[in-house]
Amino acid sequence: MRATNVLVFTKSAPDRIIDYLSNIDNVLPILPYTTGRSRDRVRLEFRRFKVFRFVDNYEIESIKRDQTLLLLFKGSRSNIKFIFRPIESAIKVTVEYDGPRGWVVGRYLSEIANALVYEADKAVYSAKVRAVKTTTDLSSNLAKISWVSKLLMKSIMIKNENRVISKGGLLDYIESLISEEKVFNKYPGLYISGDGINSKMRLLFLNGELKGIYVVIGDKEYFGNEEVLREVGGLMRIRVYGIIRPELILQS
Amino acid sequence: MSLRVHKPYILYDNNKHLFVWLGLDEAEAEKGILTNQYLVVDQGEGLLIDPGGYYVFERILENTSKFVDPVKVKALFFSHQDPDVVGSLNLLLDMFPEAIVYVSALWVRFLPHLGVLDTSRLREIPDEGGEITIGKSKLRIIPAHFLHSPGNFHLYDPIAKILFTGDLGAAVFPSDEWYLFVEDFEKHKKYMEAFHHRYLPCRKAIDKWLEMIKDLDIQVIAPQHGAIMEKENVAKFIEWLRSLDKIGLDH
Repeated sequence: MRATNVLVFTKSAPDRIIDYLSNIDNVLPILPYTTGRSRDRVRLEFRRFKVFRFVDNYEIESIKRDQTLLLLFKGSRSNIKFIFRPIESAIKVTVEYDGPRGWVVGRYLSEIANALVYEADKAVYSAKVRAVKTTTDLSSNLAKISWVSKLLMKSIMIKNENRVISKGGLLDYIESLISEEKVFNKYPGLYISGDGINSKMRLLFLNGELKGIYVVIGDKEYFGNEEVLREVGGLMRIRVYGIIRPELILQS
Repeated sequence: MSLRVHKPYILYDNNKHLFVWLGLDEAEAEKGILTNQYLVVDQGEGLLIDPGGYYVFERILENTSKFVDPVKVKALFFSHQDPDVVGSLNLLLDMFPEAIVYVSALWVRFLPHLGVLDTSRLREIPDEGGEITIGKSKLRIIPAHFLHSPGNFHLYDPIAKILFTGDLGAAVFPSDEWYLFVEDFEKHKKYMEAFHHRYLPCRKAIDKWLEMIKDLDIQVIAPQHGAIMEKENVAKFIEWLRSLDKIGLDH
């Protein structure tokens, strides 16, 4: 028997995360080392030193009592037990492995526990953020890859260039870009995205007006803040996309 | 059974060079033809192999970011022109701003139909193949024309000794089953047969490919659909291909 304890601090309320993990359908996609699935079983495969491996097929049972969750992985040759308990703003996970090749599997247990809590925390947190933003906020949408995916599905890449932009000169550059390409004659919407050494920006123009601004400088995100565009500069990789029917994007 | 595996699996890692399988999403309409995407990282630079359509993009970006900064992804390799390979081109060019796209010379002229009018980051692969340098490693582009596309390439990683074979080796799983690694080749070949008989045009294309790869040291065959074959299953797969008859027009 091998056992380990992990304490994971979370952004979301620990009891919400434990609720999320109590649904096996939520657990399966975020389970590391998955190499197989059948109707009611998941196959986990662990390797060490390229030579040693351990594979087992597990049926997962979820038992929740009060605030404690037990996820029991019952395999044909081994069992893994995860016990999740909330402790203030963290979750304590106790993992027990009972089976052969514990020296192969053992080193992965805390990683799996961490990954489960981390991914569940991310899912619960983003659901909460979605619920708070009841109105359409284009700047916030620009931060979401899923939304940008939909945007680019309905767009045409019209320019791709690397350009050194002086600090404070980004808006002048964009203005010249727009007039030079006469894009608003062709496209009612425009998406401009740029990456610099320490910064990233995504801008959305609709009918000539700047409607969405998302900027990342270092680790900090800015939403809808036109002033912060003056801080973006240096060597930028710029892509410009024409949006053919912006109303389709605004509906999504 | 709707299938999502959003955790990547490392197929090779020597601390400087990585070869990673990037997870799985199944759309109901795919009917068991699940797509595999792969990432190669060498010395901090990345290459994405057949990164796929919009449907899988979020997972690809998230899992890639776990191993390499998206700005350090230097290349996108497209084995051919199918939508499950090139579908998210616009998005890939945006989210991997330094990446150059490598695709058959036959298909570059069709890519503007995906909404890419600026083709400055597209590179044509000539029929005879070539190399892509990532970090300090050189990956070999192996011609695999008509398997199944007329302009078709595979990618060989000489460090990991992994051969990415695109649609060659594709398998269609039953609705209640999926596995990443082939364990029982006899069972698995049944899942590959229908695809190879229908999608490949002729026996000659396979024979040419067998000649092309005969000197490669292949430890792993990683297809775009289906399961990965390792060790003795590599030889079994090659023998199985050698034995296939009634392909394509002769089926």
